[in-house]
Amino acid sequence: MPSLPELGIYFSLLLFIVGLFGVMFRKNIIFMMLSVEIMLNAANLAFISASALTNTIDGQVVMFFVMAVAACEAGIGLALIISLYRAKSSIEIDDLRMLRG
Amino acid sequence: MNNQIILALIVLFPLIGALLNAFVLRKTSVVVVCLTATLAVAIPFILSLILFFGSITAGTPVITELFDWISVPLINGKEFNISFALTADRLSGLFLLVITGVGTLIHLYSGEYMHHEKNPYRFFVYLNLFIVSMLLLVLGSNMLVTFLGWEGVGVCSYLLIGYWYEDTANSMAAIKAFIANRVGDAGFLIAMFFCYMLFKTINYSELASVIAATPQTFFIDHSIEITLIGLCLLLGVAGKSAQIPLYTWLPDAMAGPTPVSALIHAATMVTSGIYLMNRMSFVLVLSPTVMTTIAIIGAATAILSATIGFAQTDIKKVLAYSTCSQLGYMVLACGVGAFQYGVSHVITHAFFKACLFLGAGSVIHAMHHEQDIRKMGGLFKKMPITSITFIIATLAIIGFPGFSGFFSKDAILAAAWSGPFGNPILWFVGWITAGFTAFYMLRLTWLVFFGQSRAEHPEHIHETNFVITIPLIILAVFSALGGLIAIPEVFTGHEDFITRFLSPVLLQAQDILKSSGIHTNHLSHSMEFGLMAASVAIVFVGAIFAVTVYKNGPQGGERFANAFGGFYRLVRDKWRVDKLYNLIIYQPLAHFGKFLFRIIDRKVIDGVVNGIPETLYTGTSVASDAQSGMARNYLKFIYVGVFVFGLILFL
Repeated sequence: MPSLPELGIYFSLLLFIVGLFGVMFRKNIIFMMLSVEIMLNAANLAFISASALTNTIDGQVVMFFVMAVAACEAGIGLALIISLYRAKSSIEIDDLRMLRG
Repeated sequence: MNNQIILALIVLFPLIGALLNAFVLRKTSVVVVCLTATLAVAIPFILSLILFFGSITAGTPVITELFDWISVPLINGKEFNISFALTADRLSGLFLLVITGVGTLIHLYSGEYMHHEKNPYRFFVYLNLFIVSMLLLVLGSNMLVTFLGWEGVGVCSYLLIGYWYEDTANSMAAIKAFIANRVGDAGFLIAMFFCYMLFKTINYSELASVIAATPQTFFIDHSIEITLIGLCLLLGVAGKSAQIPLYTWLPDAMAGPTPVSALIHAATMVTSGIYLMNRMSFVLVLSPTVMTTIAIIGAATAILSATIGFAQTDIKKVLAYSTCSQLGYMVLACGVGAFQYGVSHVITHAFFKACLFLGAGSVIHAMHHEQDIRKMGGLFKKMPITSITFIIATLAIIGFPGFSGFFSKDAILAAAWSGPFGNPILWFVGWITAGFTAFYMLRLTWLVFFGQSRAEHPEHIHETNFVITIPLIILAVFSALGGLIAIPEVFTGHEDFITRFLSPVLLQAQDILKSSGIHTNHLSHSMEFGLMAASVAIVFVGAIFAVTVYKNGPQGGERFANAFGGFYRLVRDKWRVDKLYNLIIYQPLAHFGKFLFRIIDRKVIDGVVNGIPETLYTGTSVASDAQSGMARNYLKFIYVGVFVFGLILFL
């Protein structure tokens, strides 16, 4: 039976894959953002598990930075989604192909 | 004004005329254009007369050096120099008078003939440019200036044959003429190269002095090169002067306007070959092989084209084949060593053939562009001036006693028998040809001017106006009297004018002949009279036969044709020479060209040229498809990239 931090590492991998699939296969931008959040949190979990495993504080420090970045990202992202919805009346990712080459 | 300036002005005036018409007067009326063009030739004619009687006849050639044309330092320290120089000696002088004189009349005539055209200035620009080129041809002091004119007349001939270029047949005829001429031009060029290789000069006077100073053994050692020079020159002559094997372009060249046929394809350009042979006589006589070949080619062309003339129904085609035939006589004269009689026939021929062509043009003009002699007839009463001048010119060409052709042709026939390279067989061919000439010319004259009118609207036909008839009358007078230049010794007791006049030019050739032991056999007077009587006899036989056969119009000829079935068809189809050329030259070349087009051009060259952008396009479209604008695709790339990166790190 692995220890708790080790379980945290495995769980973070699982969470990351859930987030990855969410970004790849959801079409709604809000769900994609949620999946991104899940991936960030998976990373956070990995950081603190690693911190616990190695008995260092670095991982926990990084986790706080990531949480701050994630909060900013969520705020800016939601604002962008709202203004996109106003402009395009859609938040389906496949409808937004303005950058096609 | 000194002679040098006059000589330069002679060449300059037609050039100025051409430039004026091309750039300044193009929108003005045909009268202005025609008068400018005519003056641009008439003034040189007057200047030529001044020069001719002032200085050339006195025996001093006029030489004008305009500028250094080509100047190249050679490896061996010497310099290759070609100056753009003009020389008018007695030979050039005679051609000068013919070109500008006949040219003036034909320019004048064209004003009436071409006045319905939309852009007549184009025609007159070409005509003036032709005169410039022709003058350069006969006045050039070296082979290169002559070659410049030689090419120039070819280009102008091409432009004028294809003057009515909307019609494909005309364009084809123009291209044919140009290509046949190019073959000949290549011969001239090669001859020029050989001349420089052997004698280190292409200047005529230097060439003459070098040859005079060269020991006899040199020519024996280099007999192959000298024969090659002669044969290449002959190829050039055959191209320009429509001899076998390159004569087929001349009859097709009749697609051009009739004044062009008269000026270029009868009076001047086609005689440039005779000029060249006279000019280079001292080179040609160095090789008996060359002289004999020239004589045989001339005789063969004369008789071959005369027979084709029997069965043609287009008035201009008959005249075209008769031109080939007469040129054959001139070449024969040069070939047997009687160069001066070639020139005298050039001059008389220029008068009577220009007159015949302009007469034909007058008939065609009056018949509203009908050229088929089977639809003419009975024009004598309707067009008396055209008819009388045409008949005079006919009598001149068949060699009716007293007319110009009689003397000039008889001199050639006598020379063919007795000249330095003469031979009774050559005389016989020429003699038969004289009979043939009489037959087809009388057939032509009779069908056009006598008998019942076969036109659809004979009441509309009337005499053309004075702009056309005045040149006709002038030319007819010269056709009748031009023979004075070659009245033989038997009538006057002293040597004929042309021999005396051209003796300075041909002296060296005669000296070379004398030193190599080839002599002119002197005919006894009774022999000469005998030959003359024989040719007069056959002319009468031919003429009377033609009139008997065609007394009641063209159906007389049909009975005659039926009797000769296969032979008639062969002659009507021009001995199928065109078909033969088509088969052995055109078809293989066309197939080769198609092969090149299909394989080399389409596959290889187009393949490379189109392949490069196609590859680029395919590549970039793959890249551009990657920029789909779909965020999820980008994500996939990111994930794949990260995965691969991770894999590399992991390993």
